[in-house]
Amino acid sequence: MRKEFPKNHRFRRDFWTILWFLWLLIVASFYFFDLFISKLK
Amino acid sequence: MDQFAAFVHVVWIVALGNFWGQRILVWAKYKFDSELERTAFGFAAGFGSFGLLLAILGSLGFFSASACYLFFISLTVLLFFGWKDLPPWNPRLIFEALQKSPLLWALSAVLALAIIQSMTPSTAHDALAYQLEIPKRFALAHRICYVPYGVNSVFPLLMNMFYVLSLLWDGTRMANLFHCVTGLGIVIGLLAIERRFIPKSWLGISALIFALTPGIFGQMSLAYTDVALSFFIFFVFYSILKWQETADLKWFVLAGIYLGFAFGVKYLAALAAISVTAYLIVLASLRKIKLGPALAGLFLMASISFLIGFAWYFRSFLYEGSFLYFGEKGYIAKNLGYLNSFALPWSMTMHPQYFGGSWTRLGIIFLAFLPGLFLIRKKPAAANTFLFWGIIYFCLWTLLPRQNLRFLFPVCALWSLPIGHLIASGFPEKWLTKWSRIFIFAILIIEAGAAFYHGRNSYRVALGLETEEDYLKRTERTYAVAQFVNTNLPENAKILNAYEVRMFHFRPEVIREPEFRQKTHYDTRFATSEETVDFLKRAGITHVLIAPSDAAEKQIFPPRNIRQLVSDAQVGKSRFKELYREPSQKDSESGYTVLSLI
Repeated sequence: MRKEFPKNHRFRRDFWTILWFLWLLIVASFYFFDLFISKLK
Repeated sequence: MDQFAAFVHVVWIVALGNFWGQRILVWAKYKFDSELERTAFGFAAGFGSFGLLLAILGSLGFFSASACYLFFISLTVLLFFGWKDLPPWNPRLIFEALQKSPLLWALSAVLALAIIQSMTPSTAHDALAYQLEIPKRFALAHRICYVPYGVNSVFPLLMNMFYVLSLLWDGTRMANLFHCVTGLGIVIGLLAIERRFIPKSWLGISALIFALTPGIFGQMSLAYTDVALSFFIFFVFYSILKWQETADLKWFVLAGIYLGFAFGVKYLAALAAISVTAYLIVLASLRKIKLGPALAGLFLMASISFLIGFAWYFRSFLYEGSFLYFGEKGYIAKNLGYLNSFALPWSMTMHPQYFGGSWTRLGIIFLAFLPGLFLIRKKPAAANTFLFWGIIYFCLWTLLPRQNLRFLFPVCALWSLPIGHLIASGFPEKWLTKWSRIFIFAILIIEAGAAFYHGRNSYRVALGLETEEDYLKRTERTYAVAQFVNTNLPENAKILNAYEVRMFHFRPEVIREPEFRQKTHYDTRFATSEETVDFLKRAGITHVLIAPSDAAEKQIFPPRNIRQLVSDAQVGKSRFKELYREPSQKDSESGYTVLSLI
């Protein structure tokens, strides 16, 4: 599973991975919240 | 012609173009990875060439239904004589692919939905304002002609040549379908690249991401030109990719041909030309390619695209004295302020209304997933190259006089490939692979649902459950007044129109007042109202159309502008006779009025 990344890079990779996943959630929640709220109005 | 016949006609023309394109490419000894790739390239080459041939027919004055039938039937007969030259095409491969990838079924369903939505009489704004209005003028004149006071008529009109054909044979439905098949062309192109490195069970993911991009799906079923532009631009890039792989300069020739077609569709083809040039310069400076062949290739590409695409610009120069025409400027500067433009990708995803309308939204897949690409190290060369081209094109887009999201459709086509690869290959972390896939499928399902929902008005008429007339009465604001004009006014009437831009349904010549005013200054050059009306009569104007317009109500016009003249104390009653007044639901003053000049 970690073949691509040496051991000492693991923390850095986990950090960026989680950051990106959070980014996905933020983008989606802002977008759909805005879309549905504007429809409800 | 009914829906089915319109569909069969489009399939005929597209298949004919495709086979001719393939034949010529095989004859010119182009080598392709797969039959799918050959089909994709042949599709684009044949389709563009047919547009060009139609333009030549039109310039010679052969725009009539029977002349076009004769032309395409002869091309069909000629093709059958040389059928043996074409390597065999095996439909079994399609079934095999469908068995292996469920995504291809989803893709087929999405395309079928787009085709059904295309079967609706056009009510889209730009289509009725000029994309179909100008072809209607050509069809009525049986040739490509100059439309005075219609600046859009000197734009490059390669795609609109298919719309002329549609109007000659059927109506607006075929025009929508022709635009729809250009989207299909990109889908085939994406599939052809995808199959090189995306596992068979995931085949179709990039094409699905592209086709379900809300703005793109929405526009595919309208007679516009942005998807068509993306179609040709996509194949310019694809040809450059093939050159990199084979080092064969003749791919630049093909890139030049596609670029010439793209220049025939829209000015924005220049962004593709600059992107390719910048890309080759970067590669040569990094010593990844040799400068000599790259320069030779660029020269070839530029000269061939000039040969194929320049006629449109020369035509504009002949009539208007300028090669290009620019409209309104500056979305970024006007609506967001320069500071906010730093967060451009966010703003354009979340607030599409500032970038040319919320109906052209790009969805969140690009904003959400592009950063994820930095988490996978090894990407296939093609995916990397497409990502890079997209970035250059995007940067150039920010410099445009007007940042419209639909001008970014070519970038969506390019970026769907690396994102598709990201989803199909997955990450070293299993949880991330799983959740990113769940995430993207959720978005795709929502997008598909939205695509289905937005077409809700059109299904009845598309499936033949409602007549076209009933549909247009229900949805098109100009339909009733246009019916009055078409039945009661003479064919050669000349109508000064303040300010209805949706002019497609009017049969007599309709002149837009702003352009007439810009060229004649009729409302400021005379001392009296009588003289102004006399001038209008001398200019051939026989009727006036006054349209309800909130913007016009707020505007202050010079006293001799047509909107003031019709209610002028001096000439309002004596020189204008009211023929038609449309009661509007809210306010009886605000419907359309048609008057004749006495």
